[in-house]
Parts: sequence; C-alpha cells; structure tokens
Amino acid sequence: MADKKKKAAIEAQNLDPKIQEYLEEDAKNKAEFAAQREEDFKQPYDPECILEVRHMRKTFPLQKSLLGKVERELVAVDDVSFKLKAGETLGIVGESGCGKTTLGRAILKLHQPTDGRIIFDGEDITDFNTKKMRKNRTKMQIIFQDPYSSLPPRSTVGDILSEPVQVHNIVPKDEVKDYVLKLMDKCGLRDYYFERYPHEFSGGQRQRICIARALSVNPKLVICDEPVSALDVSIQAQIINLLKDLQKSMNLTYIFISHDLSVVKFISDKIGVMYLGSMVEFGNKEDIFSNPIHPYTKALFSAIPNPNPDVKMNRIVLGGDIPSPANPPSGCRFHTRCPHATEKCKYVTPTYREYEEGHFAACHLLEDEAK
Amino acid sequence: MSIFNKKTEKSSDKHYLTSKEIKEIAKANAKVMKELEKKKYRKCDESEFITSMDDDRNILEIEDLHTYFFTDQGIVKAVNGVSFNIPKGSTVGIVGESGCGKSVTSMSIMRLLQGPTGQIYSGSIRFKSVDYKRDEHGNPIPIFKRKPNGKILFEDALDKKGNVILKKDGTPKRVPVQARNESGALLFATEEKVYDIAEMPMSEIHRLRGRQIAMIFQEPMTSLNPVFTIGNQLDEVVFIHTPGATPEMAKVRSLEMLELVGIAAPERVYNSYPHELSGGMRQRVMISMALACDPRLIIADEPTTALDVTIQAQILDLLRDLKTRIDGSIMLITHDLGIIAEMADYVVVMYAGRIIERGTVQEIFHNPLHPYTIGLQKSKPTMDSDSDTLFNIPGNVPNPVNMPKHCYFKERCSKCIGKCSGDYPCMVQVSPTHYVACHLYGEEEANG
Repeated sequence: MADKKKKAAIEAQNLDPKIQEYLEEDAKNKAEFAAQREEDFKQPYDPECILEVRHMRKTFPLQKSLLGKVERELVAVDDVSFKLKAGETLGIVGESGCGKTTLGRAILKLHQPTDGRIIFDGEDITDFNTKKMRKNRTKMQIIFQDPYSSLPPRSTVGDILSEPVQVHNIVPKDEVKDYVLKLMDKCGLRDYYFERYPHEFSGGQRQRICIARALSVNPKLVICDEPVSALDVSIQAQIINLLKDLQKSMNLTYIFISHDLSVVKFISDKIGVMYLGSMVEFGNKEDIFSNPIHPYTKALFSAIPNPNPDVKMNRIVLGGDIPSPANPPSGCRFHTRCPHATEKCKYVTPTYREYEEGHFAACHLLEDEAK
Repeated sequence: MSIFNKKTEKSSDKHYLTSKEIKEIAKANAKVMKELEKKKYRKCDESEFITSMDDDRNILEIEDLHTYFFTDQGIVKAVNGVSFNIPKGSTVGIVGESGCGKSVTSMSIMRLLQGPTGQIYSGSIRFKSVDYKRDEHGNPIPIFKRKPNGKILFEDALDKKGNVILKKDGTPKRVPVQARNESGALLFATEEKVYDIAEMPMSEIHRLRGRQIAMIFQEPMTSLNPVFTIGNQLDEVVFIHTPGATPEMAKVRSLEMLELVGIAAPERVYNSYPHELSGGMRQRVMISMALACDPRLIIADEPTTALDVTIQAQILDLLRDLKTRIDGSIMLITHDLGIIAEMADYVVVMYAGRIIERGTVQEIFHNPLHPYTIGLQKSKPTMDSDSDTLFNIPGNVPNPVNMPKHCYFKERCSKCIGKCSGDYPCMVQVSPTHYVACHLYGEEEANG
C-alpha cells in the first residue's frame, strides 16, 4: 500500500509540468553560464585591479573508484568571481564550512584551484609551478587564525622574522637584524623580544608576531584568515587598528576573512557574503550594509547581538542547520533555510549577476522583482 | 657578552624564579593544599554547611569568594574577593576577558575545580535549594497517595516479575502507594534548604550538582562523550538524579527534553552519537541535558562562543524561552557584550579576578562608570558606528601571579589619578543596584 502511494507521488512529480519547466530553465541557465564562463576567461586583465578571481572552483574528492575516478566530491568553493583594487580591503563573511578559508588559500595557491583563473598583479598565476610561485610568495602573504599554533615553538621571534627575509633576499645579510628590529617596532613589538620564544607571549602579542612575519617580505596582498577571532575584545581592537595603520603606511591590500560582521564592517571597503561555497552577495560596504538584497545577508545581519539593551531585536531567525557541503541542496542552496523560498528555488540555480553598480547577488526573488 | 646580557635581563624580570625559589613555593603550597584537600573530603554533619540567605529573594549569594590555584610559580588568585547575588528568576551576565576569573567563578559554584591545585580558599557561596527531605539514613521520604478521608492508600506488593508477594501466613503483603506526578515520576517530600557550597564536602555535592544547579559548557564538541549515544548520556542524568526512576521513565523524559529544546526528530537524535550531529544540535543536546532535572539555576559558560551567528541567534532565543518556561535563573558567562545586552537583567564586569562594576543592564550600558567597562564597550566595533579608528585599551592583563597592590587596571587606565597608586579601591555604591570599584568615584562620594 505504502509502495503504491510512493509510486503515485513520484509519477505525479514527474508529470508536473511546472517542475519540468523549471528543470529545463535550469539546464538552459547552465548552458548560458558555461558560454559566459568561456567568454570571461578570454577577457583582458583589468590593469587597475591587483587581484582578479574568475569563476574559481575548488573541489575535494570524497570517494574514488578503483581506477582513481572521483565518484563523490565536496564542492568547497563554487564559481566565485570578484575584482579587488590595490589598497582596498575585501571582507569575506559566512558561517563555518562555507568555504571562506578555502577561497583564501586557493587564491594563495596553497590549494590548487580545480577550475577558474586567478590574476594577480597583471599575471595569471593559476598554472604557476612551485618554483615560479616561490618568487610570487613575497607579494602575497597570509595571517592565520590561531596565533598559538601558527608559530614554531622552538624558534625565537628573531629567527621567525628573519627567516623569510633571508630566504627571499629582501635585504643584504648584514642588515637583516636592523630590518627585523625596524619591522618589530612598526608592529608594536619591543626590541628585546628578539630573543624570546613564542610561548612567552600573550595571544595579542603572538598575533603581532604573525603580522610582522607576514609583512617581513613587503607583500602587496595579505590574506587575514580570522586574525582576531581568537583574541579578547580589548586586544582585538589593538590588532584591528594595527592592521589599519599598516595598510595606510604600506599600501597593502587585504582579504579579511571573518565570521564577525561588525569587525568586517569596520575594516572592509568591499564585502562578500558566502553561503555553502558560493558567493551570494558582493558589493561595496555601504551598499551591502544599507541595502542588503539577499535574504541570507539580511538574516546574517539581524542575527548580530546589539550591545544596547533598549533596542528590541527584530530578528530573522533562520531555522535548521547549514546543510552539509558534501551533499548540498538542489537549486538555490539557501532554499532549505530561506524564509521566502518558492517552488522555483528548489529546482533552478539562481545566477550571480549585477543588480546595482558593483553590487552582485544571486537570488530568484530579485530577478522576479527586476522583471 | 650575550650570555651576560641574558642573565641580567632574567634577574631584572620580576617573574623569573630560580629553582630554589620554586622549591620553596611548592613546599609552602603543598602544606596549604593538603589542609584544603582534607577539608574537601572530610566527613561532617549536615549542620556544618547549612546557613541562611541574606536576602530571601536571591537564589544564589556569593560573598567574598577567593579561589586560588597553587602553582609552582606562585599563587594565582583567579577569583579574588568576588561578591554578587543572583535574584530568583533573573539572568545575571558575567563579562570579562579571558583569564579574568569568570569561568573559575562558575567552576567554584559547581565545585568542579581541578584539585589539588585549584581550591576555594575562603568565602561563601550560599544557594537556596529545594531538596528532598531525608530520613535518618539519608534516604528521601516518599509522599504517599491518600484516600479522600486522609488515610494512606495501600496496594499489594509485587515482585519484579509482577507476581504478588505473600507474607509467611499466606496473605498478600500490603505496601503504601507512592504518589506520582503527571509524567509518572515518583514524588518525594521536599523542603527548602540553604547550603553553603564552599563548605560542603565533596561527598554531599551531588545533592546540588545536576539537579539543582546545571551547567552548559562552552564546547559542545568536547563535553559530550563520543563513545555513547545521546540517549544513553541523557538517560544517565535523569536516572541518577531522580530517585526511583526506571530506564523507561528516563527515556520518556529524555525525549521530552530533546523536544523542548527544539529538536525536530528527537527519536533519531536520541539514537545517534555526538559526532553525527552539527555544532548547534550538540549545543541543544547539552542544554537539554542541563534542563533534564528542572534545575533552579543554570550556569551557561559561553554557550554560543563556538557557534555560528545564525545558530547563536537560535540558541539565545531558546535559552530565553526556556527560562520563562521552567522559571529558573541563569548565570550567563560570555565575553560578548551584545549577548549580555540582549539576555541579561543584571551585569557583573570582572577584571583580573575581581568585580570592577556591577549593576542592572541599563546602568552598565547607559551609564558605565569604570574606565575598563567604558573601554570595553568602545573597543567593540558596532554595526551603527562609523568611526575611522577603534578605541583600544593599551597593554595587557597583568600577570596573575604577584598581582600589584594598587588597582589592577592602573597601567592601562587613561583616567589615572594620584590615589590610584594606593590600595585597591573598594566597591562604591552609586545607586541601589550599581556598584563600582574605582577611586574616581570614591572621591566624588566623599566630596559630595
């Protein structure tokens, strides 16, 4: 009896012309997108931008067949594109597991991207080998989240900071110490820390060492992977101010990855919101904060606790958990938690397009509104 | 030359200890620790740890609590003279940076300090509990069902297989029928008792832990046992803390609790292992575990720090909802001022083991007095502010060993006055509920 009912349900689903239509539309969109992608790859590099990411995709194999063919894969970053000008800060926000760290690492080529192009400083670095990449490493650096585990416990601060300088021949050998001391001063570290070991420092000081290490090779782009989330509030403010000061004095470009929206708002010029591997909204800080258009961004903003006891929060609480990226929902990935989800969202993947100048988003609701 | 330099630097460093000094400290510590451990595991009469509350509206009163860690580098005064109250039915938020003693305070209340180094040195923690009345053997006294005329109702005694037990003369054995509540749990006579938790020996602490005071830990990943199912762990709580509970009753209760915390498929979660659940789900399980015995006080130690913003919003909504439903009090420990503003009725601000300011949430957020509280609020970037640089408090928290005699915040304070080099400021009452420990306000009071 139960089987019959199930069969009938499946047949009814198959017969539903609306769904059929949706599936066709999805297929059409995908074909259009593939053509668009090819076209985008051929376009010339924007000389104003220091970093351009075009349709980046990174997958990790979960299961391989006997012959090494990938049967199941986890799409960590799915078709992310953006441009970043020199001296700007891009903030990337999203919940854990949404692929923000993978995106950061793939830009640095610490993970080889599966698909897409990375254009850094006028060069396409996607296919650079390790040797070629090594030269490029002086231009791009990373600051990790946990200052407790990202410093070698057996080297002194002096060793940690002078090693990259020596490896990349930034200054002559006899000037290395002076150079490092100057750098330490810039990052708010006293000169007698030179002979101390990382365990002798507090979290904030260690993060300063990490920042100094990243800046020791005069990079152009620094990826800050949650640099302040392991620190206390009062120390957080110190580190954020330091990062801002250094940006001004060294003309750095930051990609600031964080789950703390208030910090991201403070430091960024542009903001990208990620959900389950794909960028759902991207734009200038003012646009995103004054006029968030994607329902996920709206929910994310309303979820931040406001340190004012009189303000009654008008909160959009998203139900449920983030789906597993190994088995993402069909259609729009956000439809399982979206308060405005329609039948269409379940089947058709929304395309990522520009709604205002420099303000991108991927949502069906907006498309319908625009029409 | 370099070796010489190092030596002078080390001897000038006031935190550097020679091995001889370390030995001396360890010896002195061992003596104190031995005494405290002895007190912790002593056998004593109930009368030794029963007191009375100062104010009957409070559920918890902490007075001059000192919790020390006796390390070889010296005594770390993690909680150094902390006093505050938790009124019944309210939420008290405790804010402070890491290492300020907020977690140690909660650990002291639960008596979960890692011995023998961690010890409650002095002070009292008075907790008003509703405990079972006990007979001379320490067993809870049951409430029996009564007939309308007031006589106790009797029934035939049954053995495990359900057969009637017969007396020697062949007549069935009659036993009184114990009353049950709606969910089928046996009822016992209760009475209100005030315990001094700091004085209780460890053998008696189970009267409170879990049943009267429950704790939600920070990391749901590490606080659930990975080798048992959720159901197994939840049942255990109910089974241990409810006298006369059967496994079936425990399961019913566990499923009820899982449903209460908003888990859609309680039966599935009941049978799954912790690694099969997401972070938010695990935290819900932790909360349901804490609520399983209807505690009068819930200590939530950074319940949302390990979670994402959207999940955090869910958990906070849940906690607020549950508080009204079970009519309990919550002690909420966090470093996020936003959460405090949203959840708490009263706020306690801690710094380096001491309370520097406490008051109602309105007072703390609209009229912060202590420079640290002001700095803390300014240094957090908010969604509506548009400043270019963040306010920051310079420097770090002082070393917990060898704390200075003067105000601990003096080195980082921008409003320092001459008096700050003197003794540690005492608590000044600014309004009936607002207290602050700062010389700036002591002066005003004296002048005015």
